[in-house]
Amino acid sequence: MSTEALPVAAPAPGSVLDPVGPDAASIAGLTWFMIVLGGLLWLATVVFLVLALRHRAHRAPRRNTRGAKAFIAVWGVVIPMIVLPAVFAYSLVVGIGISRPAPPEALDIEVVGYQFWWEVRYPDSGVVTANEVHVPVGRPVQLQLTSADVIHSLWVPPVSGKVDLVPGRENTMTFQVDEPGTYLGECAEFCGIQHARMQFVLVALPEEEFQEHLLALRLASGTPDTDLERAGRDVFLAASCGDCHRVEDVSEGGVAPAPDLTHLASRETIAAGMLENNRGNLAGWILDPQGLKPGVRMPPNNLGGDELQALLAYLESLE
Amino acid sequence: MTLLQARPGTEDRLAAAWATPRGLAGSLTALNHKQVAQRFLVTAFVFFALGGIQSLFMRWQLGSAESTFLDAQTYNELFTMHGTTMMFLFAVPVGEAFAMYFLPLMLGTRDLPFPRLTAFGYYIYVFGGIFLYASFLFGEVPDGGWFSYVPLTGAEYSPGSSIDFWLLGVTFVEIATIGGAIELVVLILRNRAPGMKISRMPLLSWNVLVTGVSIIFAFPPLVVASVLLELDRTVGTHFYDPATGGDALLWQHLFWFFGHPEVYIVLLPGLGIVSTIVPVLARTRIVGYSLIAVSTVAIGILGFGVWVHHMFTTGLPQLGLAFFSLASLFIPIPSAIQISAWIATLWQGRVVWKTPLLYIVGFIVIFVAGGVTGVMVASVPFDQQAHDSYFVVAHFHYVLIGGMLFPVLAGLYFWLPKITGRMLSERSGKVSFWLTFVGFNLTFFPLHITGLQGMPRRVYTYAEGTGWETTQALSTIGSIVLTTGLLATLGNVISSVRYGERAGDDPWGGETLDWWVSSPPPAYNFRAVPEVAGRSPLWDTRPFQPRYDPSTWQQELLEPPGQVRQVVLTSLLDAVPEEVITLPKQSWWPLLMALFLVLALGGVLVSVYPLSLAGLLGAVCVGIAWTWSREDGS
Amino acid sequence: MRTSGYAGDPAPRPAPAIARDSGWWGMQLTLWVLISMLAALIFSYYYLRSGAQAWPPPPAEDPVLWRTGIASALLVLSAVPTVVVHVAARSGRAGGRLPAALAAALVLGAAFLAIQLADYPANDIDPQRDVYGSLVLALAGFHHINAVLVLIGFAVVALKVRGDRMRPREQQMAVIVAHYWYFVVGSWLVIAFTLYLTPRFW
Repeated sequence: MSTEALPVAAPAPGSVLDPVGPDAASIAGLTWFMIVLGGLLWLATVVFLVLALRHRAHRAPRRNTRGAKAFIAVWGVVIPMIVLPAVFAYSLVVGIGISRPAPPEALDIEVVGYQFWWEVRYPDSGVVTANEVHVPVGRPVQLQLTSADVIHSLWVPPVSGKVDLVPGRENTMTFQVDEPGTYLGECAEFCGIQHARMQFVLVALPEEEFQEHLLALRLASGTPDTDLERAGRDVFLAASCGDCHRVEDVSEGGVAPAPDLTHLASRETIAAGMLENNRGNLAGWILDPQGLKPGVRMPPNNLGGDELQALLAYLESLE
Repeated sequence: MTLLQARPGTEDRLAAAWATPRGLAGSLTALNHKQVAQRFLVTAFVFFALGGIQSLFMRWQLGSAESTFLDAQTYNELFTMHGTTMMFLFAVPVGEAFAMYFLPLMLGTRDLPFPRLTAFGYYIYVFGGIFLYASFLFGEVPDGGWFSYVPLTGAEYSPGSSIDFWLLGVTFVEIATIGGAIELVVLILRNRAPGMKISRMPLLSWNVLVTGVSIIFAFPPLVVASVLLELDRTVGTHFYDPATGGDALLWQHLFWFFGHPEVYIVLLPGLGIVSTIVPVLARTRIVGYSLIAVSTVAIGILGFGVWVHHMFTTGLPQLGLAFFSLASLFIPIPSAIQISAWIATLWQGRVVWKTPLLYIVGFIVIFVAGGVTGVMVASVPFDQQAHDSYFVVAHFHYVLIGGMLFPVLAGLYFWLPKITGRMLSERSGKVSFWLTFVGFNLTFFPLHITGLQGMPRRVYTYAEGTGWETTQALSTIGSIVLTTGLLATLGNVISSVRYGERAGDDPWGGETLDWWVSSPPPAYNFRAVPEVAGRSPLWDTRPFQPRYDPSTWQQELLEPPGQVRQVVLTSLLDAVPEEVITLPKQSWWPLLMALFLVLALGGVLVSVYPLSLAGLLGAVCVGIAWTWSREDGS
Repeated sequence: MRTSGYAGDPAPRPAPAIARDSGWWGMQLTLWVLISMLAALIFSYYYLRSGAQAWPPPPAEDPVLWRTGIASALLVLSAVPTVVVHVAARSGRAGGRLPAALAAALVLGAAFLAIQLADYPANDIDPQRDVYGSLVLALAGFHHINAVLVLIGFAVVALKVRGDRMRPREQQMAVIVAHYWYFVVGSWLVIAFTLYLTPRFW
């Protein structure tokens, strides 16, 4: 199975210095402050070093060390004693600002980390989905983070700093996105063989569109319309897909952790941000997930052509 | 130099007492510090080469997006082994090995205080390294990262024996490191030449003293953490299992309580090398000796107060984070003092442009940049962005390669002539410096940008269109240049052994006692042990003023009562000669002890516990024999 | 060990019976290594304790105290013969009470270990069942390994010392063993308090 030339599924990662929300923006300001200040101090030190090396190259060593000691006092003690508290104070101000508890109107979302995907739940509306977080633009969001297996870390660079998902603990992360768009989220703590491919998509929508989307997710995907789709549902159940994957009103899942597929067709990516969600990729993924993403928890499936076509038709109907 | 002369004939007795026994048995039982330290140095550099080769594989993989050069599993194994090798098998041992070779010479004594412990330390170090690398033979290479976070490394998510190889191998190396630290601390406290008050000892020994004490406090928690994890894996205990009352963050606390001091443990010997070389090549005494010594101690102490800054993203309370951030932000001050002192010394003196000085200038340029990014990651909000991104990778390579490898290379160019008696080529040395310096910056500077662009660490590949391709490709090109520079040094070392100019006793106009003896030094280092009256024994106008009546201790050192190895012990602060003691000459016990311990750990690995029991019993018996026998030839 | 005179003073001082030589320093530093390990273990205990609801986690119950009380008393008592060994080693006189003191220390130490090893099963400690049992295994295991090593050390000293003078090397060994045993006694008080008493009030 070749893994080359896969279509790029997820959006390009954003930069820490190109923020789209207030938290990342205030950190970006702090970052620029430290880069400029640190760069100047580094440059000055190098200039002093060069001067020291060029100085006296032609003279005999000096005996009087008063000047040299004054330099140590100023450059080694006084300047750091001014600069470092300034950095600390600025960091503290930014830190307090970004760790303020979420206001009551904040949207609550629960994220559970699994090797190597993310379960996303909207507790207020009972929606369960995977590898996609939809948030409203301009409204604070509070993520409740935990892990079902090993430690993961959730990071969307242009939105905010990262927070770890630790089994047995619940961490919170608050942020707000001010610009509509689709952003790449990444796992930032090494979590096993496919750590690199554990990504998700953060979609920021205007409030109205967000509510529409949430409403769509809240409804069951409905019963299959066509014979082919109905045949696909039977394949889904016969091939034991439903043992692990939940589809509302169809299968309970849960034998082993796996993404909820109730609204699979509405997602932009499959395989945790790795592949674009289209028919070809879906087929390849179902038949040989281990070839595409070695070490992933999903087993390969041996399906005949008709069965596969039916299954694909069914899965694509899960809007 | 008013030193006693031995009566004719006794010189041979001294040489015979210190001669290394012949043959394979002789070299397996050898205890002399120079011989064992040389093995330590060579072994550490072999591991450095292995770790370097692993990094080249990784760089090649990351040079382009969606590369299929390595698969995910191999990549994860390589970065685990690279980090483990560089931190445990190279950076710490090489500092200790340098100190083991040169500190006895600089302090004016004949050997380390516990020669059998020296040899034992070497054997378990090399066995631990072999143990770790044996995992390749069994296809069970550790893949949990050098930090080995639970629960990923627990039995449930790492069922094979790969993590056991890691835990057992690393624990072996830790024991070796702790043994070396005890040895070096006692050396510095009790084996200085008469008259070398603690305020007169070379700055390198201050650095090694602080390093040693830090190891004594920082490594045991990691040993404990590793044993607990091994118990979780083999016995089925619950220390790290959150489902049954354990806690995944316990490992992180214990690991980083070791892990942050570890950075200074790696760094401090390097800073000591710089403090030694700068005055010699600036042709002037160091400015601010006491300040440097005090700031070295301060670094050691502060190093224990900052471990949580590796855990800023784990969801700890904000107040705790602020405290650890504050502590982390103050650690640069002692470093700034040292850097300013070196610059001031260079300004004060008249520099001699030799290769070691080039490496030191390179060190300052790189290390200060690493310090700047270090301040950045000590800031909690910025760290929550930079943590586990390539920014951090760039930062700690600036600190560790800049702060430790460059000084070690400077030290190599500076001191290898003492070991081999031959100079390294200056021209080739300068070429190697420029290649290393440019290659290093080309490799690691772009990674700062990659990190800010959102690239996490420890990913085996990345998608096209991420915007990371250019900087990653630059890094890969840089790593090839860097390798060329290091190979140039290797070639220089090899050819110097044969074709290098003769070094003579003191090619640099050195300040410390190591340049007083021949190159290579005689097995006993000093026939008559010098009595020191100042900080720069070889530069002081009246260097060796006998204050203490030499008729007893000095005469005895010169004319040992038989073929025995003797050293003089001096008092803790003022180095008043107190007694002459006899050291072991050769011993099988260190090797046997190490072999029995390998047997014990091997038994744990394959879960054949009677084997472990036999190994432990053997080790206890060897321990009894070890303490029972003096092995000093008297 | 040859002690050859002291210099620097107008009149060389007589050598003390035993100097704080390299071995003594080596032992002190080794004890600091062990103290650091103990601190890490104790930290682990309280860290995990603070994260638990009920302690010890059910179905485990608070450990019974009287057996450990007796064992601890014996262990503390063993410090007395250890002091005798220590004093004898410093002066270099071997005969007299030294053999008896060594024997007493050995017997008391062995009795302590025997009682404790019977105590764990009686208290239904199971390292595989719950984290409290795991911590008992780690803390007590650490302590008992050290205790066994020192008991072997006492035995070696007892076997080595012949006649009524100790040679300097034997003096050093005895001092080292005594120091190590002090650590064993002291660390047990911390460990016993942690394992046996804290579940009663926290």
